[in-house]
Amino acid sequence: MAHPGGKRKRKGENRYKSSVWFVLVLFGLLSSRLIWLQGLQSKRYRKWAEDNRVRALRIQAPRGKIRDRQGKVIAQDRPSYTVSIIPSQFDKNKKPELSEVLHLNPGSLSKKLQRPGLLPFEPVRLKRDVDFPTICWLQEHGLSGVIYELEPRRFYPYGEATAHLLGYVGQLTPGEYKKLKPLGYRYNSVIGRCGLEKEYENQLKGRDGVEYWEVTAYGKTVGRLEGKPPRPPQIGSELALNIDLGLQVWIKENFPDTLNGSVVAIDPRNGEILALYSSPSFDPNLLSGVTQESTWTALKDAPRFPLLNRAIQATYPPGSILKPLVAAAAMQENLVEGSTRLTPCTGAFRYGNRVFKCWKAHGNLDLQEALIQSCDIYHYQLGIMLQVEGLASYALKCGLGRRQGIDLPGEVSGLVSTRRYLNQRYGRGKWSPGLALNLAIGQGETLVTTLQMAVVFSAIANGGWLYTPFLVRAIRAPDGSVMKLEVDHPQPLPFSPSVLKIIREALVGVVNDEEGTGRRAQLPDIVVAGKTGTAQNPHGPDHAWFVGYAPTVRPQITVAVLLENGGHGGATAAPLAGGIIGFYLKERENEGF
Amino acid sequence: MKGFDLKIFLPLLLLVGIGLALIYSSTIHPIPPGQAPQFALKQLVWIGIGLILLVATYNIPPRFHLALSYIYYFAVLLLLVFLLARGGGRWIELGPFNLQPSELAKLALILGLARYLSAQRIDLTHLKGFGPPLLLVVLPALIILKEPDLGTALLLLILPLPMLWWAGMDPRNLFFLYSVALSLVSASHWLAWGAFLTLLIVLLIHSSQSLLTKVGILLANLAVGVLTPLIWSHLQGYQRQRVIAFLNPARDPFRAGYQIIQSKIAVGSGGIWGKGFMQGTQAKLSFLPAQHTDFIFSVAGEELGLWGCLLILGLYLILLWGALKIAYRAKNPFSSLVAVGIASVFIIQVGVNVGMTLGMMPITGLPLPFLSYGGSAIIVDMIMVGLLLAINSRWREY
Repeated sequence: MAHPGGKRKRKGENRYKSSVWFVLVLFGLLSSRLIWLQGLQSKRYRKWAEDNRVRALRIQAPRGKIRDRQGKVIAQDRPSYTVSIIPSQFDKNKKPELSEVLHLNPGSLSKKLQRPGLLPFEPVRLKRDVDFPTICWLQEHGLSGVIYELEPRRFYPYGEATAHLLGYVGQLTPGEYKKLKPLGYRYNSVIGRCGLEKEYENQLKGRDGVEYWEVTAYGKTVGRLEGKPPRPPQIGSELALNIDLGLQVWIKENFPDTLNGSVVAIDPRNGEILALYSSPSFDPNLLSGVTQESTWTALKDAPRFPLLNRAIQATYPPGSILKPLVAAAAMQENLVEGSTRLTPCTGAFRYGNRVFKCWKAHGNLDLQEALIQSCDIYHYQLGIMLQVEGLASYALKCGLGRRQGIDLPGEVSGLVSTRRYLNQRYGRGKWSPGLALNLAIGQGETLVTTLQMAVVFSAIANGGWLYTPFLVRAIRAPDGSVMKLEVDHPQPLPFSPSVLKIIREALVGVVNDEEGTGRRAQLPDIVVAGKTGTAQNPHGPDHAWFVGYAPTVRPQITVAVLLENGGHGGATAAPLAGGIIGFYLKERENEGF
Repeated sequence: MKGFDLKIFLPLLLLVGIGLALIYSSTIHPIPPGQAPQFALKQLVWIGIGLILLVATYNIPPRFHLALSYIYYFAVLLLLVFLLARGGGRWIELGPFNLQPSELAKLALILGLARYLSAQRIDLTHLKGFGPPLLLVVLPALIILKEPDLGTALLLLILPLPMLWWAGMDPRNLFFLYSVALSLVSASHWLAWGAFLTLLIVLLIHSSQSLLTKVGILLANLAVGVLTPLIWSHLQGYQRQRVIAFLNPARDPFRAGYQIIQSKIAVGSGGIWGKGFMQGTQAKLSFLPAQHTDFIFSVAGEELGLWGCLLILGLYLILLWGALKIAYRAKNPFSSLVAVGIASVFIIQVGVNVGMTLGMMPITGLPLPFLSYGGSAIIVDMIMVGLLLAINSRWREY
């Protein structure tokens, strides 16, 4: 540098030019990046900036109420206090004090505050449904960073009586949250978990309200956001049920506590479900909202499976309650008449090289007597006449082997042993036609639900119409408009009126004849008709069935009762069914129906 | 005011003015209401002092600094050693003012290097000529790295590159000189390091250096390539975080990556016209980190928009172009080298800081000249501009 000269000067000029070019290129790069960020991507970043500063405060919408057929409230939201913590504002030294007041153990409190991915200014829920004295204490002591909010919480005033019917609500799991977010659900939303709460989730849930607040990076609130008006929460629609609460509660109180089983009561004139109960039951209030892990596990793994709705989710062999259908099928096929006598019952019946037994030697019986006394031998012979195909075809036409379409989630379809099913199960020609004998007395591979039997007997009672059973009669929107749910077109039973008449006479005899098996369903001033069943069960004592209806002229109620391992249907199920019918008809009378 | 180059002084005034406004805007938060603009007021005082010192420097002939340059250098080195002896930290508290010696070190190094390079020719082969400037650079850089202030330390290490080039060093030799640093960077991945090493060997074969030098360079590179993992493990946790966050900001959105993301959101959300003065939500609601110091450009992006950012870059461009022209015009080699050193510091800081706020560079903690809040920085920056003006007014002096 110390030597001036032409060459040096030129070199210096080159360096000057190069350095200017370097700066130009550098600034060109920076400018292009600016144009990219601020010109082309600006919309995206503007949205992020908005997401940063705007906190949408959700106001949970109350769920719609659920009422019984008389308008009594059986599910509703009630206000409850939720205590939360804002970690960045909370004084850690107050941990013991706070956990004592909220009855939380200090360990679980610390765990909640150390959840990974927690934002320092995001409120963490500590406890729901905190009682009022505790809230007063918090207000008085004013712990910084501890907040409480009023939130609706689901409440079922009749608890166990309506548990399987209504189901319960629960908080979303992280997986559900991801899936349901586009539908307006939030992280803390509740959703119907089973029963009507699940089936009518969309009607019940309402629409959450929202308020927009401007916040700092530290979660401090600056104020309500201007230019973005809040939206008030909108309560969900109300459900009006066909359920008769009085009847439902009576069933719960009179059901033998020690037994598992179910009861379905239907109005045979239209398929309205008057009561539906499954035992053992559970208290849905324990499960609504945030459920303690231990509560949930205890219920889920309880040996008697209380969460199972045995009226629609469990299947049983029908036993003798299938006999009226078998007898009707044989008559419909003109194989027998009501007065037809077959080989008399000696207590045993030889078919091929096998001996089929009856539970008693009934002697010489006609069809009606065979039904009244529930003679197996008579029905074995009907089975031989009808064959597997005939039995299956009539069972299917009576609506067995398929879901009844009740407005509850999880209904199962049961099983009808068709030729096709047997071929699949055992192989073509590898099963004996002798199966028909067992199928004809409701044993073998036929499985039904309590609901199915209630529907079929309703059809026998009402002159031959299978109605879709349904729980919700009307949905009332918050604006007051009511949507009535219509009874859809019933399907006919495959039996002529004269056949049904003979069957109905026999069913009256079951309860009222000297020799009838269902005498214990008798009521003092009402004639009850029905059929007992004692279903053999490879896992233990027999299941007890009784399905019946009353009164015999223009029947108003059909009741199906199943008691798992309940022994003889006539002994255990029949009196309960009789009691239910009696209670209901008396209740109706008093109300002036 | 002969030679008082308005092409440099006016952009400077506009830039400090814009900076002052942005500091004011970004440090008044909505809650609690009624805050005093204490940062802007302080900055205004520093700018005032800076202007006085700028004019004073303008009036001192560069020859004077040539004579004193090593004294300046050792004085600053003493301050740095004082910090080191005290056990680290960046600031020396002097009443209301916190002196940041690393800012002074930039200027001291420029003056020291310029003096050395204007008198000696540097050759890689002569350790005697090569050793002193190496020491000149490495000593303050190491102390500043220890403070810890990675950004300024790196700045000091890179500064000799443009000055050596300006002094006439062959670019190939410069490459060899910095090859060690490039080895360090590329050693993060064996493939990159292998490619770099191949290039180095090819260049070495075609170079006119002696065999001994070639072998020395190669060995040095090999050593660095092997030692880098060890050095990496000795970096401060947060320094490593910053590098990692730059490489993949989404991986750690709540720590170092958070700053880059929030800065990009601020700039991007400003759009073409900006949200308006005092309207930036990212800065006002504290989403933007260090909004009045290292990330002041993000505030400009958010509140003033694209046009404001391009205006700021334009002002820098005019100023830097002017500075380079002064360096080119100055007949005195010392003056010329000082001018190019000052221009280089500004170019590097603008490039690195703006690049950082736009998510193109890792977070290095270098402030933006003239705009960022900070007394030492703005005063030293203005003294450097004063020096440029002084060199310009005496460009004929040999």
